[in-house]
Amino acid sequence: MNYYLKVTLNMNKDFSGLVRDTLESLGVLRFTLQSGRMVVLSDRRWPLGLGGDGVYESPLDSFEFFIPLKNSEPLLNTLVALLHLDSPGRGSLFTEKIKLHASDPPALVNEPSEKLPQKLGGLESAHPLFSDLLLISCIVQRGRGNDVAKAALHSVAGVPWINYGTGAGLRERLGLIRITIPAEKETVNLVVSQEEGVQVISSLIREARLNYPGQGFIYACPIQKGVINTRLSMDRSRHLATMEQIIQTLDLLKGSPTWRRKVSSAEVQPQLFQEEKEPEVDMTFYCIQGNASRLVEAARRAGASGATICKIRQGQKIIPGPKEVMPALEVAHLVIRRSLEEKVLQALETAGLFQGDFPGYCEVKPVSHSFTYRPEG
Amino acid sequence: MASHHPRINLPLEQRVRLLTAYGANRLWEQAKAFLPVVLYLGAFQILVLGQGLEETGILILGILAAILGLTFFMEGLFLTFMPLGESLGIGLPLQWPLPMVLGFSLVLGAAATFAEPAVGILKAAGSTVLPWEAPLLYYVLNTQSVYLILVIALGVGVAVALGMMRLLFGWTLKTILLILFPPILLLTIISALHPLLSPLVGLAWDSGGITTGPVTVPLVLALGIGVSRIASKDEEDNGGFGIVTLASILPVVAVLFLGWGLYFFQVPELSGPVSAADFFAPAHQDLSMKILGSEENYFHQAARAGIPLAQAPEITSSTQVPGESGFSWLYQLLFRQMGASFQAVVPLTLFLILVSFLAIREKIRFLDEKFLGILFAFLGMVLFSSGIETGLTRLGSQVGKTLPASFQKLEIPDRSQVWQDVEPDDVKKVFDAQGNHKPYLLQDNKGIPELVAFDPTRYDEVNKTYLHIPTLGPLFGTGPLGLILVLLFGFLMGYGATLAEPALLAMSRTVEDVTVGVISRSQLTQAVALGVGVGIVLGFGKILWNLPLGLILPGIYVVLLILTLFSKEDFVNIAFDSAGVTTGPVTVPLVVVIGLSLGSRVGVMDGFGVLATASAFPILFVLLLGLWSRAKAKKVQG
Repeated sequence: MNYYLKVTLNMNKDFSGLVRDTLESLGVLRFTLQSGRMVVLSDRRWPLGLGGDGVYESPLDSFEFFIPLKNSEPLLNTLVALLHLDSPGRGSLFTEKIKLHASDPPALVNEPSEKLPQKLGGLESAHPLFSDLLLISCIVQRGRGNDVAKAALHSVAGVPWINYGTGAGLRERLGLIRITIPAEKETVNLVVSQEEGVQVISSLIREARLNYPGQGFIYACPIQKGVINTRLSMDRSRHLATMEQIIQTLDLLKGSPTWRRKVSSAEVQPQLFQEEKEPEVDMTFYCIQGNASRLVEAARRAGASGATICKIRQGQKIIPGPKEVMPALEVAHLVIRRSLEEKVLQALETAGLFQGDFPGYCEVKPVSHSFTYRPEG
Repeated sequence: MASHHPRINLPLEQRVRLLTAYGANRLWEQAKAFLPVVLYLGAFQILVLGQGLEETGILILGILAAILGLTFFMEGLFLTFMPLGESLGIGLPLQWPLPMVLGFSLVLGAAATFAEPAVGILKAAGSTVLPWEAPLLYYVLNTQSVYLILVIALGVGVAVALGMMRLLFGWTLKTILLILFPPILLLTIISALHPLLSPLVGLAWDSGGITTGPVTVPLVLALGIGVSRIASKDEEDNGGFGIVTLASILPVVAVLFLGWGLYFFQVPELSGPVSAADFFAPAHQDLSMKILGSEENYFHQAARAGIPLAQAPEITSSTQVPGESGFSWLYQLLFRQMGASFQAVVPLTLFLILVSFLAIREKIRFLDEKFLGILFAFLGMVLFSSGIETGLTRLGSQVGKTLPASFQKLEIPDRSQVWQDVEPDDVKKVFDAQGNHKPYLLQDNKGIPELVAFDPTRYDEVNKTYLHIPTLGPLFGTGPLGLILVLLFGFLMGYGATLAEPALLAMSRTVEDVTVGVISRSQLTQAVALGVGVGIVLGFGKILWNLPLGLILPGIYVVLLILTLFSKEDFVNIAFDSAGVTTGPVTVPLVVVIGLSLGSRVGVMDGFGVLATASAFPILFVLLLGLWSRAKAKKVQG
């Protein structure tokens, strides 16, 4: 009951109009939009240090929407084909199975149009969506995102993207002295194959120094299916096919990206982290901007430890009415022990998450790995 | 609210540690922004012009106060003003019908203009305007300055309302600029070609940049960000910028219209610039009295021009020497700045908080933080403006006084000496190739006798004393080197001062936030600072060679509009907004003091126009940054 697929589609901001139109034509009218930046490697040097620190950053929009679990393949395949996601550097698409809590969950879910385009203009390459993937999210202090992203790029795992957010937790209860503690965070996101997950997480923990206090937090959630962006570098190719295209083809032939691991997992870095003994879930709730910190406080009283709050926008095309405006949204990510799930949900409900003119909603998905500094004992 | 979550009390030691780390971090951040221009001015004065610094104690005190003030002020902006602006932008359009939102915007824009009195700066820049040379400019700036404030405030108010409407209805700034600019540029050119209106062009374009001050800009920026987050038609994704642009453009129109209006309806009998003698001729007395506003001023100006008037009353020497005794000037300064800062910060914030209460009806979380922010902003502004006045502007005026010496001979009255026992026989004749001769005196320069020109008017035959005023320069010969140096100085000064502009600091942080770091803070500030540098070079050029500003500005803007056509909407927004934020409390006094000093040396009547060119070039540089980054993006997307 109330299980759905959450689809995340990342593309360069230049294509936002195209994505909107494509989604609309496929019957996806209800979506949220979050700004981010995509980071790839760049060897080029520009005058005045304008080239950045060995990376090239470009603006990105993350579209997120819910669809039913059943029969999702045609929609996803059509999206891949129409948006050319199978060519490296265009973007990425992946799905997660989530449990949706809301006053009326089906109202939040898109019913993709029955008649998906039959002909894709010779593009029906039927790019298979990979399975057994992992979405890694690493939350660090604002300003350290690029270092973590570079570590991800060097591990040849995939192209990371970064969102801005603010941390909420203990800070809010400190009185005025709280203003001395920076709340600005960056979340570095990355999709990797499950097999290399532990490796990549370990290298990110090292780069972000998460094994020291106050540095941040990392967690990973399983992904159902996805197409990932493999264009790790912006440098010009001198061959008929780019290295990324070759990699992509090999991924296709092999049926998964696992063959790309540079070394066998037995001899590489020691696993820096212990799995949490108790299973955890990622509880992500959406509400009107301005309410998230109050709701997080309610969740904290029910046992949650803290949250990262990001500003997102409601995609348009819905709620016809006289007003030209839609409320701005906030999304809060909390990672909590599964045993606390019901209690925290209850607390959020009591605090009014599901009420109001624009009621909020909450999605829950399992967390497969997580790590942060914990004091001894 | 407080009862819901029990407060955690940190031990004192930990609080102190947090506070020091935070304080040191922020201070260092602002010191990095502020120190370059100070060090640069100091180094220029000492190393290039070869002059010492005067009153170094006060200078250093002022600079430290400015850095501390900037730190507090920025914290206040980030704690209170910007979050408040954003939440109003998000909340108001949802709660209020459109006409009320537009009414609020109009009031906000106008109130912000009254709160940050830019007209004082305009008056300072026009303080050397001679009523007979530019009668209409003098009339607008002094006699009718109430109307000047009113039309500028109206311009800003309409701009904020128009900007909100634009965001709500998803009109692109590109379209608006392409509609607005051609008539404005045409109006500018027509005015520039009119002998009476042409001095007004500089004033009009300067007022556009000046009105958007360090409180208004961040507030309006945040308001726009908020509105753009809820506007359902925001598909072009302008990120919420653009209001500042309109607030810089519309006052230009407003001031030019005021000029034409006053000309047609108040003083149509004005014919053009006249000589001082003509101006004070009995036949023109009524008109001139009207221009000057009062009989008292009429006689005062006549005395200034050296025109003897039959009915002139006895001019009592009313020039009071400011009481520089002890620290009373410091108290006066602080008192004055406290009043100005209070006026700029407090009523506006209270108005905003009131509107949030009325419209959004939601409790503002962390109200303590908001009040702390207001206190920070107020305190910061007092320290900052006092520090700028005692530190930076003083330093700037010291440099400004000696700067013209790099290309021409300059008297330095501050170092005059009185020589005793000067006999008429001591004056020597020195001949040139044509056989003409000039009188000279001999001066002992470290053991070597040196000729100095003798000025008979300074010789007192009775007491046998001679007032010697040392001269300086031309330090770099009479060739172009000295002028090139002045222009280079202008470039570096503009560049350095811009890095410390609070509104730009707030803007660049907002841009970084909205683009999630794709356009970093430093990229934007660098591009804008380079632009201001180049703009000031052109502005100094205008002063030195009296270039026709009314024709140059439209030319620049035509180029900008062509570039705009090829640029993406988001960069168009950011670029044109940068123009409004650049000219603030750090740049403006420096430009005015140095511009006027240069102007008075070369006989130009006002310091207007430098700010207008300083605002134009950041647009160019930010648009180029956008085009360049788009060229890079093409490669990534393949």
